[in-house]
Amino acid sequence: MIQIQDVHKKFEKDVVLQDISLQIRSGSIYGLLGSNGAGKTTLLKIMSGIIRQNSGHVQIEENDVYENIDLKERMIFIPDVPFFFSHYTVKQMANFYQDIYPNWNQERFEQMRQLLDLEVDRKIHRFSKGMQRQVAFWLALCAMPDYLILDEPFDGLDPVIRKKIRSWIIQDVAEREMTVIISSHNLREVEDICDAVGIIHRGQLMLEKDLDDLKSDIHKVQLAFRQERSDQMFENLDVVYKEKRGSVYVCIIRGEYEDIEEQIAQFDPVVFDILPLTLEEIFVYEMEGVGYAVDNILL
Amino acid sequence: MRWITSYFKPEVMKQGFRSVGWIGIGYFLVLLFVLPLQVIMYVTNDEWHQFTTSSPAFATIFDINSQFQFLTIIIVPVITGIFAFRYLQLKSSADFIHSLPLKRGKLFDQHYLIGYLMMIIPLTFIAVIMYVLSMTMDVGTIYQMKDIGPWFGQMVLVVTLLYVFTVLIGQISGISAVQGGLSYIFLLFPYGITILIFFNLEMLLHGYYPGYRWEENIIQWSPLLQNVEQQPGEYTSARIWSYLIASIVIYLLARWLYTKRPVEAATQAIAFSQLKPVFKFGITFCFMLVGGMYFGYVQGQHFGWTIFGYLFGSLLGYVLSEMLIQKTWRVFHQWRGFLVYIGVSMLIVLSLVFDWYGYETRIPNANQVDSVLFYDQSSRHHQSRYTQEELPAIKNQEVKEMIVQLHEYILENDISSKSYARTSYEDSIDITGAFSPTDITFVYNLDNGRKIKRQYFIPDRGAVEEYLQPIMNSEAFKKLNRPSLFDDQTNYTTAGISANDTARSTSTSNQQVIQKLITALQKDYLAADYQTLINAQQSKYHINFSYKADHLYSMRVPASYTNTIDVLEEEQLITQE
Repeated sequence: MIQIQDVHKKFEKDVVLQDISLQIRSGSIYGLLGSNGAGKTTLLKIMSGIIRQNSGHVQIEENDVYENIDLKERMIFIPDVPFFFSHYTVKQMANFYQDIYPNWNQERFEQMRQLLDLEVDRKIHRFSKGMQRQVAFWLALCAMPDYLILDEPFDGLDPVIRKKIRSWIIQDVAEREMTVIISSHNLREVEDICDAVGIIHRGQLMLEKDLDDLKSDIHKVQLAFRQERSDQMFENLDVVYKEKRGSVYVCIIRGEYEDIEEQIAQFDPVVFDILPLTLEEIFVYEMEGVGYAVDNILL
Repeated sequence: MRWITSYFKPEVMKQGFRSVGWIGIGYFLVLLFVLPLQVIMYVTNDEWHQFTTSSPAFATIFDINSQFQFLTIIIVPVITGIFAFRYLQLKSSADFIHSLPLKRGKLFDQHYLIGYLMMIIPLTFIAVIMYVLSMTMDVGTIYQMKDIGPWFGQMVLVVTLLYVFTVLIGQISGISAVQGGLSYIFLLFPYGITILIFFNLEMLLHGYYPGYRWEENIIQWSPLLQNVEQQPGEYTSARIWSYLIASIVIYLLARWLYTKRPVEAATQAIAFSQLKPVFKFGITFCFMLVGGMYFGYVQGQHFGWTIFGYLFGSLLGYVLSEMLIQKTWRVFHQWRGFLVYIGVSMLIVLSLVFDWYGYETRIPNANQVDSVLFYDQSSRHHQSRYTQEELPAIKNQEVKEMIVQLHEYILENDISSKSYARTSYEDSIDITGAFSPTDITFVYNLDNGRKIKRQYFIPDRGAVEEYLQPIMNSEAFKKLNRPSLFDDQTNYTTAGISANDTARSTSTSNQQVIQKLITALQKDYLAADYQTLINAQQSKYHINFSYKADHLYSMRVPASYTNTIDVLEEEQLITQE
């Protein structure tokens, strides 16, 4: 369990994070969403114990992260551009990780090497960007972390590599209950992998949702009636959005499926469909609900 | 040994060696060429054996290729300090290293050690090689085995201090180039800022005098200059201890700052925001002093130009430091801090100019004066081998009163000119010396233990002659003026006599003759009148007394020194024409 409580961070006079509080369950994948400059990277670095917040708490397993060696031994942060010592080969870098991380799994390292078909004696800087990203994940996963913190891990990768990395992450989450935090500026990139998401904008947490709750909680409803109906039929419903095209209503309604059905059925609709919403649509409406146009915040 | 291997992660050390190992190898190669190879070249060179007279030819190992050794002392520790902590100044590596499960103090220790070893290992190797050479080859004409220890120890001391200092600056700055620049600046800083402040006070305060041989005394505040000016081979135990303690204190301070330093400070000129105003106003202040000094000296005494220099200098310093801190050209909207600075500093400058502290008019009462040192330009060079405490200060009440009177006369009649006008007078020194400009310095040791020090530049000596003459004729002044002549501690080994009108010269090492000469000179000198004393041109002979190996003390012998000339003739050291 990662617990972030009222975290505040300033760089000089610029406020980067403003009283952010959020919780991440163990064994879940958490998506941290936000546009460039929203403060995602700063928050991730604070979670990894690289930089320190000005106020508030960041606790993992009820211990502060900063300068906590026991926690950091079980945690790996992969920045948006993975870092390797200059002129290091994969082998040398692996030796470094082995020396630093006590849970290093050499067996796994060998297994993955055969899967990846990479030469361990080549200098990492000669590799392409995608290959370097794979090396970073390879090394990170062999250190068997309990917490994996990823800054924009899929940015600029081709779909094949993206899929490969994604499957590695999911596998470790499923097998070892690894906790993963993924930041992204692109909702579509993470919607099918995350269990929960949080959106930050200008250093503030706009929204935090469990995706299962979210999807079961909000519905797109199409309605049509034989004769004109007054708007009073919506009175007992939590309507996020409503639009009328001809005689067809398109509504986004929050609430349990059964409740909505029961309410609407009273008015005898000719057409009554409940359609699935994409995650993006959900966010568009949720954010509008708090007064933001989501296009401005997320792609 | 186990705690060492568990404290220091081998892979971290390996990585550190991979990134700064080149320094160690380079340093070793340079030292190899500068010392052992040079020694071998000397030993195998026949001419060297023919022409060396003293053995060993060098007093210490520092004297072998000394200029190259000094270069390495100045350059290597700073470079090492920069590269050992280079990872801290790059965002990507700083993030990575601090995401590892290693405590900050431990990270600091490891990277510090890696850099330190890059200097200590080469020095050790060289010391061993020098030792082996002294065992296997005949190097006795160059150095001795007992020289190796002091050389190694002192080298380690100075290199350690400069290295740990650069590391400290590396914690304060987040840019390697700024780290290097600031390291050199701060290694010179105590000396530089003192010089600047003294020069500016001299301009603003009439009679300001920083003290006897002050330039020499403040050099030791800068380890860099100290090692350039004075050879490291001359380390006193006080210096050894001060280097050791300073190194330990600086190390602990740097380590503490490392644990406090925000990782995001990489690429920022100043890593701690609390230090930014200190840095900013420090630079502004230095530039102000430089500006005032430049315009003050270039434009003579013109007060308006000095103020212009202060304003312009501080503006320049302020803008430059803002640019460096904010890393942008556009800093011109940040004028509020500057206005406050200018307001405060101008108040201080005006307080000095209008002498709110009564510095310029403070003259002690002769009764309160325990003793006084009084000298002009010419005496200073005769006194140069003595410390201020060793000089025979004037205690004679009558002379003290005369000195205070002269001081009052100078102030009341505004005779002296501010000393920065000196340059324009130096070109016009009167050949006869009668109206030559001079400095007059007063150092009063008061009964209450305090001191009053003043120095005045007198453009025309004639203007104070009336008061100066009785002082200079007094025995107390004469003894102070030529301390070497009355110093019975020194044994002069030889006396060389040269005539001024011919090229002939003779010398004697006979102690009795030397003693006779000194006695005669003392008598003649004490009897000489003011005109004889100040007229350098009338002397007939010069006597150079030598003491130690290469030190000389020189006395002029004018025609009126009959006792001395008699002795010279008697001992046939001069021939009568």
